Amino acid sequence: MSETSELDQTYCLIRDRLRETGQALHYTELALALGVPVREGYRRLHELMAHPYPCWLHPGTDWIASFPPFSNIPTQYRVSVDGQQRWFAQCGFESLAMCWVFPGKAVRIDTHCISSGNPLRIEMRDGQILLAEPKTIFGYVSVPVSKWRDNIPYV
Amino acid sequence: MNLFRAEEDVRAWPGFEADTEEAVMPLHEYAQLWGIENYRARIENDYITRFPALQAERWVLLEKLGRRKTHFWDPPQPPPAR
Repeated sequence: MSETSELDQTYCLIRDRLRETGQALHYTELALALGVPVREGYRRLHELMAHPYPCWLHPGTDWIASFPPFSNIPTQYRVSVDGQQRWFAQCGFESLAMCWVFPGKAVRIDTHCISSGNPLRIEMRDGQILLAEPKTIFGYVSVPVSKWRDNIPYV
Repeated sequence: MNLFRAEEDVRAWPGFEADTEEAVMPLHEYAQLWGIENYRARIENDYITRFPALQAERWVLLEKLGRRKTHFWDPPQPPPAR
């Protein structure tokens, strides 16, 4: 393991609050958790949001909108752990990565096909697909990777 | 980045674009792609430090899956040097 940085520390605090509660910290709460002045919490938040890790704030605010694999805004990708539906995934593909932030747990994804509207259910544990209903589920993104950063919330 | 009931639902979706065949993949392939170390390491406390070194595996796996025949999955070009 390499040495952790200030950015790592900020990342871990936000990630862990999302894991525990399904909700992201505000920078005032981040400052409190770090034991630093509020302005420093603000600076730390914006520093992490500028990193290539694909997280972002709601436009024009300091509120965390997305912090993969989590979404701090409800999406159609509802995620349950230990029978509790407390989380939303950033997108369909990130819903498949939710299991990595809940190691050893069965993670259930409930959503609907964006084309037909039919219900989809997936259960995963540590990267293994335990259940897929229906078995025919496909994934798709229409935007080439080179253009993802142009409008990442849309992608 | 969405999930669909079946391949035919992808193609029937109004958002489907021509020349994007390499992105039409079954669930297990996307689970593999979102299962590389870049995603597994998110639970580690040094994830952000390690982030840049974790990106290349994606393109190696896509190559193995036979999904690099077009430019769809090509990584973004770095900005030109000034």
